[in-house]
Amino acid sequence: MARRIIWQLPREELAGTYPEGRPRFDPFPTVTEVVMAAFCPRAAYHHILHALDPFEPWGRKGGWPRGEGYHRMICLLEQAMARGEELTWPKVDGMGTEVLGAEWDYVKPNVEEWWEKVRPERRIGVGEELFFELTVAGEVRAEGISNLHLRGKVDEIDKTKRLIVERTSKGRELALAQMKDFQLWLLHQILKGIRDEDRPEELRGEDLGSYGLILETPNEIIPVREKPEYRSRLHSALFWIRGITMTEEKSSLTVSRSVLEASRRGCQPRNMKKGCELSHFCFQRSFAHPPGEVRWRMRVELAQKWRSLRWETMWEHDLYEYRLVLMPRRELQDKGMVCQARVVERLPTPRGLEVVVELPSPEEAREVEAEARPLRGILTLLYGTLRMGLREKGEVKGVEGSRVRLLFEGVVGHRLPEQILFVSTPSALILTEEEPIYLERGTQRDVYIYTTRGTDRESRAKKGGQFALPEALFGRRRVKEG
Amino acid sequence: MGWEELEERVRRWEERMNPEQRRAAEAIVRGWNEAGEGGFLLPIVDGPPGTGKTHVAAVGCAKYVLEARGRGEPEVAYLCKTNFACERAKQILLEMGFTFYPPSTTLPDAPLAVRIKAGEQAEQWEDGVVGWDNMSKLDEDFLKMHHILLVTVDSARKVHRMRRNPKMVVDEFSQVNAMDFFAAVERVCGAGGEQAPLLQGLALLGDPLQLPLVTTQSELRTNILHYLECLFHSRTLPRHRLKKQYRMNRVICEGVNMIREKAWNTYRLETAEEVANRRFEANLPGDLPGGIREALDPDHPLVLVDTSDLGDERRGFGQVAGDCSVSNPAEARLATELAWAAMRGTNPKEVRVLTPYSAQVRAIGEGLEKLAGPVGREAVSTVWRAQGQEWPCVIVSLVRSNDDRRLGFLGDEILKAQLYVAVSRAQAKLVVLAAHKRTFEGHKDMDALWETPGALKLRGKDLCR
Repeated sequence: MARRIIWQLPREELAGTYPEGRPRFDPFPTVTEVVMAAFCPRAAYHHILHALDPFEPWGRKGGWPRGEGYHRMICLLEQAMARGEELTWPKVDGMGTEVLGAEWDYVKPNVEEWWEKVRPERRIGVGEELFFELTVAGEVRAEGISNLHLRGKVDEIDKTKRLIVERTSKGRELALAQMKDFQLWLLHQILKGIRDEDRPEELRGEDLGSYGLILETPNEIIPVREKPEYRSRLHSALFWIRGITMTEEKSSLTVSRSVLEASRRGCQPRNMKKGCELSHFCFQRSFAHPPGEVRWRMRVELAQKWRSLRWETMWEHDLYEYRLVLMPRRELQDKGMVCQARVVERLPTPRGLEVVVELPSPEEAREVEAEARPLRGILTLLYGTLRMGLREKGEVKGVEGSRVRLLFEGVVGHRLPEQILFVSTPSALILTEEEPIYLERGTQRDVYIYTTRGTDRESRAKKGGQFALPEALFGRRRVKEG
Repeated sequence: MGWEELEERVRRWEERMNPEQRRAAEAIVRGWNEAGEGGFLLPIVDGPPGTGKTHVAAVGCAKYVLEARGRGEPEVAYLCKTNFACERAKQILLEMGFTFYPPSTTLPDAPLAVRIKAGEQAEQWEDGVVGWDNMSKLDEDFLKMHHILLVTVDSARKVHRMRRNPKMVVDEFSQVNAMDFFAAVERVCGAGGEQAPLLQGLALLGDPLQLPLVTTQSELRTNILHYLECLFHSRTLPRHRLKKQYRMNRVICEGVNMIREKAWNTYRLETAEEVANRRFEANLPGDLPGGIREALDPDHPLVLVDTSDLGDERRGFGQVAGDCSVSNPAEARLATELAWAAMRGTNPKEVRVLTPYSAQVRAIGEGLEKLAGPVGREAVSTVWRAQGQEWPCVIVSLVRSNDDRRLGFLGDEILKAQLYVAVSRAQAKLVVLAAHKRTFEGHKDMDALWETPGALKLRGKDLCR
């Protein structure tokens, strides 16, 4: 029988202890992270410590990340159908160009396929109640697991047909290889645990546990049913996530056992994992410059620093997410982490949703503007609750007295709010304004990629300082006085 | 502005430089491959506050551009950790003779420098700043023709598209840790496989004693120079030391030297004659209490006020929602009163209040805003944000005041750097408010400052009367 997992929650930290060193709580994983860890421990290791994504095409040249545009278009089309609009393919084509611009060329084939094959089967009728892109966060109750909180995004909840939909622009084979069915099951587990009072009003009283689960590819609908292996996958994923994230390196010349073990679980030449975009990292070639041992030593030297960057994001971001989910709304308001605003004007535009809101005072409006600056946008709950709602980054377009004009790019066809909630940007730091965590993730990724660079050409090695530098610091080259 | 003009200005600037500065600028020009087989040239310029390291970097970059122009590849990627440092370096390069040209203008054959910023609109050319967002092919082509690109370490990712064979200069390296440093090398010349840019040289400039990044992880606080020294088994790496400072009055510099010598065990700074007797001449209002007047007396450039008798520190909320910080209401009131008195007697922008805690920033800011309006709130900041800046009059509030001698995050190592950075921002007048006897006594750095010859020592209560 598998060992019991008790996920460590940040009890003391919620009260505001000084953030320092190794977090005394476990990470707040996303559903995608759990899926990655279940998919391949080595991929999870690359994701957690090097910010590499096994499900995103690596180094895509040209083209757009199609997923987002595809989701946006389907959401728009289903909303239009629910409103009873007469849609024809040329009209859809026009909408795509208007909403997505140049991206439409990349998204169009998938949407066209969906239009022909999936739309007739889904039969969205007039007046259907559909909810899109809801961020859900909450406790997952599973046998042998305590305190585990997960967060994720539900692509669609169809209240009329009692369905929870996970949508992908990939085909059946790739979607199943990348465990999209498991992802949907995890989201369903979160939804089941969200109490009535933590749901948007329209979904209160619904038995979400009895909803059907469907995985929707551009050309078919795949029903998903509970499988016993999902629970064992979750168990094993949690062990990997905790091991890789929390185990400290004991000395500069070793890496933790979890990392070593995860590294061994990578692809073998005769046994390649389908759907992994990082498999080339399992077969790294060695270069003449800098030589393999130099790069190995560099990675070992930096191993704890990669983890420290992850811990930094746990203090800044995971703790913040725990606060949003575990602290009562009143306390969040008292601490200035959330503030409510009344919507006075709304204007759906092709670029997104433009909203004018009124705050209780001009000072608070100015604070919202100031808060928006570091991240170039302020996290806003447009609809629902912090445990189940539509969370978006709004761009502040202007402040006039106590009124703030915001643009939510990409928010199209959603329910429009009466009240919205501004959520303060994550920070547990005392000294200065916070840095957004994507900077730490970017640093993790860039340093790792630097350790994979090299050349076999003598002439390049002689001219390029980037190849000589690691050799000087981690090899035999001597650092000379400048 | 043409090449001849730049050459002439570089020559004039070099003449004004002291020998250490000239040698340091010369070192920046050299490329790593000059180290010969089996070596790697890594010029490091150790520039304490006010020693003109950014000027040295500007002269070094200009000389490199002038030299490499003959070879046809005069390209520099100038990296700083903060936007502020980047902006300052840009100003100095413009003073030196570099300029920038927006697309659609016929590009002249002249030395060009431009700052690239993440997220800004590409149209903001008029200030010599260009943003990534919506950048057109035309913009990119114009950027390729600029000889110096200034970027922050975090937004250096696109430099490789504009540079073929750059020299990389990292300014203010105290804020750049090992991860930032390697990430910067990757960003400047990573992508592109066999077509990737080739790094021609590398130089580090900064003061290793200044404040590191704000982070929860001690591993990430170590700056790149200290990291390299640990890597080489604590061997001190060869570096160019700038010893003459051009910012602080002699007595304030003595305070800085006391901290440098006794707390850091490092070399003393000399004060340039032209700044040795700087005075803060404020036309103080007649209604001031005697203590405040005495503290702002221009004859006493360094004033140390022991606030042990004023009151206790308190937990409070900082500037960022949800964070916990510490404030000291009595010290905040005193700092507000001092700053307001000084601001009334001079240009308000010449006065700055610095404190390590954001809750104290908020407390003083609110007080000063009531008295002086928005300019009052802007006159207060954390010490961290003040790095790289200087003001004629600086008031420092160290906040902690408790009988248990708890210093919180100001534990020894950070306190040293906080105190060192805070006091070295002042040109002519420095007032330090600290509960010395009650809380800080026994800490090497604070004791060293308190022993500064020529400093005027006052008690908090005397100022409040």
